Amino acid sequence: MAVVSKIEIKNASITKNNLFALLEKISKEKTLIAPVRSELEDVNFLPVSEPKEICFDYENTTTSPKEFFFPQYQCMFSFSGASNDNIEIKDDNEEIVLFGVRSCDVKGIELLDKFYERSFEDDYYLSKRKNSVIISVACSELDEQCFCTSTETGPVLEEGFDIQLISTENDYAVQVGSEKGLELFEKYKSLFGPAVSVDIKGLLADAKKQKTEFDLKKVYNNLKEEKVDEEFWEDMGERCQSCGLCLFLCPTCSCYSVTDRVTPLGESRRSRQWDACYFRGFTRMAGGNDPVRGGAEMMKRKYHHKLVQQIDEFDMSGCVGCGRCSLACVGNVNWLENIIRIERGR
Amino acid sequence: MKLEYIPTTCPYCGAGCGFYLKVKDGELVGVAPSKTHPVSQGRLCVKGVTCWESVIGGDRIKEPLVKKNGKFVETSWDEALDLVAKQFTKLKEKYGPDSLGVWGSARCTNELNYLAQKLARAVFGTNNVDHCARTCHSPTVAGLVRAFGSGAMTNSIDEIKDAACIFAIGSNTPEAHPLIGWRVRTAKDKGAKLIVCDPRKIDTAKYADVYIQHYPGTDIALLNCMMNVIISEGLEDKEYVKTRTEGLEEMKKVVEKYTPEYTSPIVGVDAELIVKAARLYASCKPASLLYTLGLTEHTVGTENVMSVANLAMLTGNVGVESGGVNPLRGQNNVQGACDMAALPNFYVGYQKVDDPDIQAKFEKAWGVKLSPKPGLTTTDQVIQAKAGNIKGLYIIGEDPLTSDPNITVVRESLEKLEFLVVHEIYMSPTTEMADVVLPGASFAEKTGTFTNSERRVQLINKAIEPIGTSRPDWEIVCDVATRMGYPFKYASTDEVMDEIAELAPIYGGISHNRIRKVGLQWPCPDKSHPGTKYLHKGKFTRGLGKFHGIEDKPPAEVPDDEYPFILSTGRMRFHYNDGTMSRRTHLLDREFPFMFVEVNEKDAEKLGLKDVDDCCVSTRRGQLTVKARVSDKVKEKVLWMPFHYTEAPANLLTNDAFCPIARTGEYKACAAKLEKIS
Repeated sequence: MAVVSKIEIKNASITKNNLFALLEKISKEKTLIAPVRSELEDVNFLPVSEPKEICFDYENTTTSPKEFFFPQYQCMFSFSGASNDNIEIKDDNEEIVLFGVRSCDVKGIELLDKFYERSFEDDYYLSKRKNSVIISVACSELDEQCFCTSTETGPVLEEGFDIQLISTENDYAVQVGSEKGLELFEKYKSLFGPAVSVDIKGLLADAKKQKTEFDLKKVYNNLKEEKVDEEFWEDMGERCQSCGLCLFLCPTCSCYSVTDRVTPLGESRRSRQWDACYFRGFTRMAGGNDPVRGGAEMMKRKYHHKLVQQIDEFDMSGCVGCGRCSLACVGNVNWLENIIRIERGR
Repeated sequence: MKLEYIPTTCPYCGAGCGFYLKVKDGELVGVAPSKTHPVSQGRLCVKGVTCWESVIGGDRIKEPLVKKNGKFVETSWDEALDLVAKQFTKLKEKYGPDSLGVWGSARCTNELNYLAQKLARAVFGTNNVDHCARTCHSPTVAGLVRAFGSGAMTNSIDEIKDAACIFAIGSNTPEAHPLIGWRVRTAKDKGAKLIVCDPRKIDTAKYADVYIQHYPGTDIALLNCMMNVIISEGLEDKEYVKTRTEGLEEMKKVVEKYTPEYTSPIVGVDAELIVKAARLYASCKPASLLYTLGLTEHTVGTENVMSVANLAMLTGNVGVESGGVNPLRGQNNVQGACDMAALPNFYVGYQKVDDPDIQAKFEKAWGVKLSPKPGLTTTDQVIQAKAGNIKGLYIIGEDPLTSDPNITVVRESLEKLEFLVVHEIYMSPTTEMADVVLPGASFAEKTGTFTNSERRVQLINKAIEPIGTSRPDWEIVCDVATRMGYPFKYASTDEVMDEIAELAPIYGGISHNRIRKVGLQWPCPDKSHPGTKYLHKGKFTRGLGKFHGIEDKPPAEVPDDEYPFILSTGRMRFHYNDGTMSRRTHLLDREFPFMFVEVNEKDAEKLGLKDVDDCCVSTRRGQLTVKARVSDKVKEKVLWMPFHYTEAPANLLTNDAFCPIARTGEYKACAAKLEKIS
């Protein structure tokens, strides 16, 4: 069953005051997760107990919202002794509403949904997704590092959201796009105003006109046909310091490794944690052979995976253009600049 | 769901990155970067990203351990602390205060280190207090104090990206200090010239404008030669030298003979390459000079440091933005532990113990008589323990049985102690020898401050409860002092910092409240002072910068027919020091799970050795069987090993020959033999 059961889009509107009231009501009934500005001025998604904790003035969060469905570290089950009776499966069924997610990140979650239900249905991921509703807020300005207009993942969405808010002059236009979204909408219907029609295609065209960095199709072709010279990949391979942070921040990276461990309090656990293909230990086999022969090949595979393979498999770009990776790189590997170089074939 | 992001400072290297620990329902579940942090700016290295995992190993020490009949028994804190207080009191009465020693820790907070040295001085009555800077940057403090008057990194980390030239010698910057490596990369991307001098072809060597692969232990010859070229070609900054420095003539006389032709065979590098490096460094300003343990861990460590100071002063690069002499400190709080005077010759803030006025100031502040006699370094405490003169040691957060040179001798020394107490988070070879092991809380479980390499005092915040009954180390020290009859009464670490600020002028303006958002860089003399970005602007701390004429000297042990290789040791990106934390981190240990030796491909061929073959590395002190890693990374006749593996400790092999000034061991060069195991 798909995580997001799409419906025909239903239009509405909401005033800023009523949005506040809506979030207040949600926070009383469910776990509300929203952007919060820390004392150090970083903005990240965190559970909030009341809407006044929410930061409304932000470009995007430092970390991606994927961590609420696919956490950095997660206990899958705990066990003790040799008997199967002593296995306790740790499944988190808390109902959450995620407010303030940007379009690129909604698309990132859509890709993760596709990945995690592709062959083996991953309950740890899917149960969290099924218990969540996302209220996304489209970007009204295009930030310097991001390029959703080129990856076709924003700044507004045509579909795939639960509820989408689009800032209008004074208030928000509201679009309900899924059954889960509709359920939430119906529950708090009194807070919403009349339908405001929004020309999504027009907004997208305007944004594209304002800022388009590359032609995704051309990038796809150039990568597929290996039109980029080796020197480019060598340079990038040398720059990568294998910290893994770009992939940990990436809204679509889905790799994890599984370990058995004992906690300091003596609980035996099978757990999983984020992993990344920029670690040699990720691909290296027992005996020491590494099928990925070096940094250049590692980089080539990553770009190919996001911009060819995932387009083939999921019919959407594996890079959603959020730009988080470029801001996290200690080797100054800049995805956007590199994609543009790939488009130019050098 | 209770999910919090707790801001804190990285517990690994001295770059001092800031990030958030993710805490879910009271458990550590990850790390998130902070874009606003002045050092890390949204970035982190692999150790920072994974550091949350390093402190939640199932084998954390959870209860105090007391050795009874040769075996550890879990006890109550009362029993353990009473025993510690009783034994130290007994030894002090029987053998005198100078029979005791305290080792603070570059891994622990400023507040802990301040209290540890206060315990040694005010309670034990000895200046025998030191810490693991002795194994790394003590030559920096000794050398830069002599040249400039202050022993710290002169400039700030973020200035490096704006340098016109970067000269990195004995610094594997991207691996040992990745966030400083980022600045080197950025400077290069912006067009700066890069000169790298290192016996190993490290990552920066690959994109350097000049790469000099000299032999370990030949830095003075190389630096003297560069100065010889600069002087003979008239490239020195004459105005700067005239107005800001003294002692040039003495230095000039010494470097005169180090012509490129004379130096080339000593260092094993083409003369033209040295000339090119000298011209480039002298002509691109500002030039930022970076170095680490490749310079300091030698018997000539202090003289190496004075030599780089010479070079930077000669070209007018000290006291200028994006220039300077920048020792990159290796541990999260090695700068702070020095500042706090976990050092045998200083009180907090580098105030000399043998200065009567300073002594009187501290006697008044602490209300006790203090010893005017400088104490013993950790190096000399180990030597004196073997000689029977040190009877009791209190070691905090350190494992000398993995990290000190020639650990066989260290073991013999520790065996002779009558009483050994160790604070640790995990068992180590050193805790195994202890009489009492006290479980300390990790960086994630306590509040305090670390001072990074650029002198920035930064907060760490408690994210989770201490594991088991472990306690913040500063509290443990307070309890020991109190039980020995000198009550240490502090409600929290910010009260300790207030006392530090009162007594140390360079920390005068620092308080926990002021650094809640952004750390302050000392000198910060008063509560309105904004901190100091770079040192020696307009005037050196000592007045005039001082040149020293320094002759090249070979390492204490040089290759011969029996031991034909030079063995050097060091750190790598995925592991950290004794491996206590990185070896317990899944993603880190998976990268490099076993010990190895790097061998040049030509040497390997002669020995019939292939990559990943087992081989035996031996020195006059011991031998290890390890895997060979064959490449062109090390120079011919040079071997390199990391030191992160307690099961195959490189320091079984290293030489316990020490810098006579700073007492740091020669980890970077000894004679070794390599054999293939068939």
